[in-house]
Order: sequence, then C-alpha cells, then structure tokens
Amino acid sequence: MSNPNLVAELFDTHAAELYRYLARRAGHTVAEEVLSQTFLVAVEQQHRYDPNRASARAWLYGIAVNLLRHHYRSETRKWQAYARYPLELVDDTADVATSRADATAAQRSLARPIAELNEADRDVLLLYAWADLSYAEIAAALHIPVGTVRSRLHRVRTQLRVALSDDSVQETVS
Amino acid sequence: MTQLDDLDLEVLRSINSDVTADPRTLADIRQQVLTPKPSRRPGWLTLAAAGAALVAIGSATALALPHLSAPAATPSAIASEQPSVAQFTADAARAITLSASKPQGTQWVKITLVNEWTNYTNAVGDKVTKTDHPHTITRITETVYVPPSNSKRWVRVLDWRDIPLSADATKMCADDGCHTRLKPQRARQGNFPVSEFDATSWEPPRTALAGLTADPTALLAKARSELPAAIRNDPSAQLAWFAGKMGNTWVADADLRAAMFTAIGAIDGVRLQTGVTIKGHTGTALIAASTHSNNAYQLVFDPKDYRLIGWRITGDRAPTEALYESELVSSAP
Repeated sequence: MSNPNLVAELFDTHAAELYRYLARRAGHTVAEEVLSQTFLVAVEQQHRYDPNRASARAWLYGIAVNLLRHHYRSETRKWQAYARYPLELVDDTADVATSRADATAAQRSLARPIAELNEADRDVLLLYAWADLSYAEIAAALHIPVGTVRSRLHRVRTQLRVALSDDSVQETVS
Repeated sequence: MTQLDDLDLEVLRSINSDVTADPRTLADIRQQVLTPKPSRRPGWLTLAAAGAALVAIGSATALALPHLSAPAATPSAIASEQPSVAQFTADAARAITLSASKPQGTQWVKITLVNEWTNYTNAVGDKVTKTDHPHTITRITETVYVPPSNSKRWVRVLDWRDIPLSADATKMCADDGCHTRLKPQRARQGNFPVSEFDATSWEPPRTALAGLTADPTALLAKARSELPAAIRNDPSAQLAWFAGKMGNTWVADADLRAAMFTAIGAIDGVRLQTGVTIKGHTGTALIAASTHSNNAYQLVFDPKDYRLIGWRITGDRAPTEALYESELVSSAP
C-alpha cells in the first residue's frame, strides 16, 4: 500500500462502527482499549494489507476480533449477567411498553446461550448479526474458509434454537 | 435466505443496539494512534476484565436511615405471630408516611448494594464449559454517594470481583485477574448512564418515578402494563417491578412509597415470612414464586422501619442475593 494516509482514512471511515461493535460485545472500557490497539496494529501492518484479499472493514474487524479474544472471559460474564434476570423493568409509555417488554424478554432469552458459545462461534455469529459482514468477509476476517463460516452459523443457529425452545418466554400464559 | 432467518435475527440485532461511540473518545483514540511516537507497540494488556456488569434491579438512592428515622408505627402483629402480608404492608405504609429522613449539613449518604451469585461455568481459553461444582462467586458492588445538596453531583463506583471456589478458578484468577473497579462516575441527580454491560442496571430516579402516582391501584396497573405479556400476571415479576422502583425512590415521596407497599399487599400470590436472613441481616420477607419459571423472589425488609435490606432469587443451582447497606459519610471520592 502506498497511501501514507491509509490508516487515518480507515479510522475516519470505520472507527465509530468498530467501536460500537466492540462496546456492544464487551463494554466501553474494553472497546476503547481494543479500538486503540486495532488501529495501532493497522499502523504497524498497513504494508501487509491487501485490498484484493479482504475489504478494509473485514481486515479491521479481523484485527479487532483477534484482540477482543483477550477479553473473552469478561465478555462472557457480561452476557451471563445480562441473561441472569428474567424480569425486565421497562421505562416507556404505555403505547410501546408491551412490545418493548416482550422484545426485551426475547433478548434476555438469547443472552444465556450466547454466553455459552465458544469464542469462535460467538465471533462468527456477531460478525454476521452485528457487523453485517458477508460470509466471505467473515471468512477473510477470521482467516477461515467460507464453508466453515456457514457450518458454524448453522451450528450456532441450532444451539440457540434448542436453548430458546427450552427457555421460551413467548408462550402465552392463560 | 439466511441461516438465521427463523431465529429472529432482529431480536439478536436489537441487543445493545443503542450503544454509541462518543466523538470525544474517538478523537482521543485517533490522536493517540496517529501521532508518531518512538517505539510504540500495541500492548497485549492483561487488563483484568475491563468493565463490570452490574445487574441490579434498580439502585438505591439516599434512604431513610434506621437510626435517623422517626419512630415507626408499631406493627400490629405480636412478635411471636406471623403477620399477614396485608398487615405488614399496611404497617409499612403507615410507617413510611411518618418518617422522612435526610442527611444533615454536609453529610453524604453512602449506599452500597452488593449483588452475588454462584457460577457453574468456566470460561477458559476460547471455551465456556459447565461445571458440576461451584466455580466462582461473582460479587458486584455498586456504591452510590448521594450529596447533601443538588449543587453537587452524585458519585457512583462499580466494582466487579470473581471469587474463586475451585483450583481451576484460582488458577484462572491468577492468570487473568478477577477484579475490576471502575473509576468513579458523576452525574447530576443520580442520572448516571446505564452500566456498561446491562441495560437495566440503573434507572435514573427521575425516569424511575416518571408517571408514578401515590395510588396503589394505578401502580399495580402500571406494573402489569410494563411487564412482558407472558409474565404480566406473574406475582414474582410484579414484586420485582416494585423492588426496583422502591430502590430508586428511597428518598422520595413518602406517600408514593406508602402506596407501593399497599400495592404490594394487593398482589395475589405474595406471602410473608419472618426471620429471613440475608447475608447476616435478618428481616421480614415478602415472597412470590414465579408462575413461569422455577424462580422465587424474596424482598427482605427491616421489620422495624421497613427499609429494604435486600433481595434473594431462588430456584437456580445457587441463589442470587443482594444486600443494601447505608451510612452517612463526610465526603465522596
């Protein structure tokens, strides 16, 4: 790469999105640290970045996710804590309270099985669901074959579906 | 067609969807990263679990301290007999309206909420495994300092600690660290941002009180309307709703707190048990079993002044317990 301003341009384009992703997974403190580290790595390795092989987003997400693995345990605890309370206190107007309360109950139902995912499966799931990366981009980011991305997503989907069916809060209580 | 379509991808995408990046934070990081420095390398920091998830149902604001409160109305039950829920909540409602204590002069009220649960999972390397034995106790401590006047900001300190209970856990803590304490946060009138890890860990007093009136019937209706449909009539869910509001309205409107007690007394399925101990403190518990899960919810009150001591959730392999303590202090961090 011959662009001396590459990393600055990448930061201006992608940092906010990356930060959001990291903060959603592991909180703001970790997000600040990992985002900083991500772009420091990008500075050091910019000569190795090949736009023919991976989009800039995928490249940066790959660095970030790899760094985030050092915080896997704290992220897991976050998911476990989020899942812990089945009762949601909703502060909203009556008009939207019901739908939001139901949605929040569903969110919490997902949190427990997500907490129990291993690192690799969680990365694939959330890169797909939260970062909106394509299968090819996820594969490039994580340095795995596209087929592996598909199979992991399929496995995760099955695990979550089993977990949700055992712990549904969406059945009607008469 | 995606492989996750039928999983309700939208629910997954909605989790933490309101998280945003602070522009000043980004600007600081940008400068840090892009300003040439000699021999800088990215640090593979072993930061001990940055951020603490505080999963508290509401958070205590300042409170009616037992030693400062006016004498409570004499409970109508004889000590050796168990009062009914109706008697207890009626006595509590009367007592609350008699007392309205506040700190004096330049004193701050320091309220500590300690929330604990036992983990039967072990996250090692890239895997989470379930364990047959208790692995760790997670203890989250939230300390809130309520200032003596509105001109000062409230202060909150969050602390997360994992206490190892097994050899594996001891090694994990030695390797990775098991303690995180965030730097103090400050906010006017207790309007702290949500905790980093959970959307419901703190409900600002103004928000918690919004739309609440000192009318028990209206309060019950509001509780039901704000619960998911599946648990709208679940007595434990209704009890938890009131617990969160009571925590947040601890210094507020005595009539509102009295109405809350009256409303609790009207929840079908709530029972009372005296002599319940939580973390060394004994009180009277109002208990409701969930109609939707194996959990039961206990709110433990001081039988003398009806202060909320804490709560316990049972039904899991080990209970979750939370305890409030308070004291007057001369300053905040």
